Amino acid sequence: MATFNLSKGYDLQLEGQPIKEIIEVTPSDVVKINPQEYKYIKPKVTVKVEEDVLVGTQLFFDKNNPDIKHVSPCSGKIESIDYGPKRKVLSINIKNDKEYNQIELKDLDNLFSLSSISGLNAQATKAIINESGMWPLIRQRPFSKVANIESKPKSIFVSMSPTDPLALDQLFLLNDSSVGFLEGIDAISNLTDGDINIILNNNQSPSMLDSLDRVKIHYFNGPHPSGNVGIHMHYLDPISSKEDEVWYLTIQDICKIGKLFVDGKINVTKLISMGGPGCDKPSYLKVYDGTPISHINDELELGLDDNSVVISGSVLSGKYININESVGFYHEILTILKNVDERHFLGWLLPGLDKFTLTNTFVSKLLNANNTINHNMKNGSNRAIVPIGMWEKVLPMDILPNFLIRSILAADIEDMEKLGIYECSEEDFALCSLICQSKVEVSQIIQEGLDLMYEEG
Amino acid sequence: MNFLRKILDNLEPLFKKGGKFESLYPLYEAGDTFLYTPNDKTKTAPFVRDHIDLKRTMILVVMALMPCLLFGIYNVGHQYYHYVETATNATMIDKILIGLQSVIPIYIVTFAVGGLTEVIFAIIRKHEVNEGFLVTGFLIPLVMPPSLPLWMVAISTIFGVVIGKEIFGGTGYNIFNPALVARVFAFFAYPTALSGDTVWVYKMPESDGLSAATSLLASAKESISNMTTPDYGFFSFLNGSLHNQFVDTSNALGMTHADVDLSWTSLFLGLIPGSIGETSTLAVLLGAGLIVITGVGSLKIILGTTLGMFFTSFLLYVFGALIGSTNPMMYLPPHYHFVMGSFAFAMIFMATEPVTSAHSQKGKLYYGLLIGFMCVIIRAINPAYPEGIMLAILFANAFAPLIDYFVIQKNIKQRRGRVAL
Repeated sequence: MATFNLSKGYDLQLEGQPIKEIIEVTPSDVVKINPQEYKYIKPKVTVKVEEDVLVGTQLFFDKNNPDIKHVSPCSGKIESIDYGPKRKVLSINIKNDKEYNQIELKDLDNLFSLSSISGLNAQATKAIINESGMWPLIRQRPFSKVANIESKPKSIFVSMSPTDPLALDQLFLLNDSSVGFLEGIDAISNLTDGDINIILNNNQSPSMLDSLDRVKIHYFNGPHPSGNVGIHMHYLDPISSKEDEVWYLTIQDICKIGKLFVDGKINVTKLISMGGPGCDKPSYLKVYDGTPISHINDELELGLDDNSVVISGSVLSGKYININESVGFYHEILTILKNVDERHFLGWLLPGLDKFTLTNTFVSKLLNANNTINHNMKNGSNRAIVPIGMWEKVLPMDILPNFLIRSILAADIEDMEKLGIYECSEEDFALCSLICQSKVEVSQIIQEGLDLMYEEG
Repeated sequence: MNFLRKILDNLEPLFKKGGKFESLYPLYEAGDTFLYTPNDKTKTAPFVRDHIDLKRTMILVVMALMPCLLFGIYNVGHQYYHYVETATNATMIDKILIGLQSVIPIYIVTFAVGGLTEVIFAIIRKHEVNEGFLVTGFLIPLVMPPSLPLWMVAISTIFGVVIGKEIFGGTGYNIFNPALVARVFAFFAYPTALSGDTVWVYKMPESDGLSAATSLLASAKESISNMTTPDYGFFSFLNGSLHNQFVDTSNALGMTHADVDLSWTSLFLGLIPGSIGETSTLAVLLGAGLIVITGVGSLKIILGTTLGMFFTSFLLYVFGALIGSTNPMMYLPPHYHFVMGSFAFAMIFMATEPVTSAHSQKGKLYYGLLIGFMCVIIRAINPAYPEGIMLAILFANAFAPLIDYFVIQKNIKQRRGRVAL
């Protein structure tokens, strides 16, 4: 056990904090699966239009990792498959019969004859998780991609105290339904010889964790990104090379995996936190996987349209989606911003009584007048990097962001490696982009650097 | 203000791709974003952004320069009535009017010439017009003597902008501070106007025999007399009397025209001849407060430079006392170094320039130390170039990448060691 008190960073307060009450969203008529949300995937679709599918039927696999199954979260009929340029698979659309009939999981019969989950070996555990289509829930660093099913990670991280704006309260989640949590921990314990690290902050004290002997509890306090797993790994189990794999997953993912081992059921719902300044009814939603936003919009009368700024995931690290798409496979947050189009006269010169800023450059900071923002304006033009030390103020890592970014822009693989690119994830650098006065896309550049390392490093 | 917005929106198609004045788009963009904050949306995460932009950081530096500029305008007039029109009973208004008469043409020339250079490069290179020149343009006149002919100001500005910045790719890519490059160019290209015993007072007639050396030059006059053994005690070094003993001896020999009040208070307040904006340490410190609080200027560099200067002046005192040097600058106490010449001005506004200083946070401290050290060394050891800080910063600019290199190596080693554990 260790406690880390981080001081660098910033807790972004968005308007529209969700109330902690769960609204259950009914199943949608159409379920949309987007293979492109798995990083570095080359999807090969294994179903045809009009084919019947069940929950757990394989929809596609990754040509680079053909063993990993990506499955349907509902039962019904394949309605259509959308392709983009170069036959890129954009979306697999399934007509949902709302029965949620599940395939038979052949390995589970063997499992139930065993006395305990911890009696399984890594191979068997992997096989069961993969058979159910839940393997992609487990991700690895470096690269934030689906974990390599062949390898054994040096440790596994679970963050119970995410600090993203509008993040789900993980303790609320466990209190709501902890079915499968302990079993899930047992199952993933089989996957590594190293530690299972669960990260809390000092305000959390779940009694549930007391009984777990394989688990190591660590405390990380401080502003965002202190709840990001990348930061935890940086302090507890740093990654030094491409082969140095650490896996991570969320509490919900663990519960899903655990539930599979409890009753053999594939759980196709998840809790998401919906909110943001553009959201009228900020609350927690229980949605079926692959539910399009338009369905949620209709059911809850949110009043969203094509001009709405909808972000799947956190406002700091998610992605824009249109309302016909669904919440991302890995995302637990749905953020809605206001669509604002305003230009301030001489904005750079005036004192700025109501400007959102993390820096001391506007009077608003002095008055503590405006610490929230509700729109997606860039608030400035792109410029060359002028390093006045703002990035370093919001990055609680022993990484020199300025030089790392320059080495990435120069595509200098050797320098990137030395400066710690493998430890980086774009989400940990989000605040650097947010605070940058030259509007340098720091997260984006980190992602490009990781892509380059993945292909060539 | 909506009508202005409408005019700009109507003009926009002309400058967009395919428009009549497509090649002049940088000019339109500069004017458009000068008047209104841009309306770009974020394309990738994070989707919300801080309101800070480069225009804001640059304007803060300009605001921080205001005390120096205003004081400078007054002081130019003050010196004029002190040295040129001594007989009159000039009021403050008179002094300010004379000051404006001197300073405004210098500013007009700097901004016209420098701005044009900037725009030409932006159009040729097809990049946006950078805010960088805003600060450079405000700095250049402040480090020039009010007596400098305007054509020299113009040529120095062009040299500073082109050689100091644009040939490297513009703001963000330069290795030397453009304002300093302009100043150094003027210093070396026109030595008769910027060094020696020439008086830096607006409209000073050249032939009337009166001369008022700048504070640094007056202090640096080497004593050659066989003076009685001075008191080398540490206390007399600290209170400046050791330094004064040497200066006084040289004065007695008629070597300087010490018409300038060189007391610490006078130097701190800055009512002395010198370049337009740098004489008053008080005005500089007012601006320093703003750039340090807003985080635009690095406190690490400022502390480093001050520390380096303190350390080196002590070092020189010990060294000078040991070898019995008669160079008064060897015994100048640190608080005099601080207020004399452009030390404070250059440290606050030029050493802290983020692009040309060391980029790593740790490196900034070492970078500052190097400046402080070099400044005192140049001032003391080579009195022909009394303004050591200017050369010290350019020297440190050149060494900044090396400082960063060592910081990077240390970071790499440190992190490698951590993984090995």
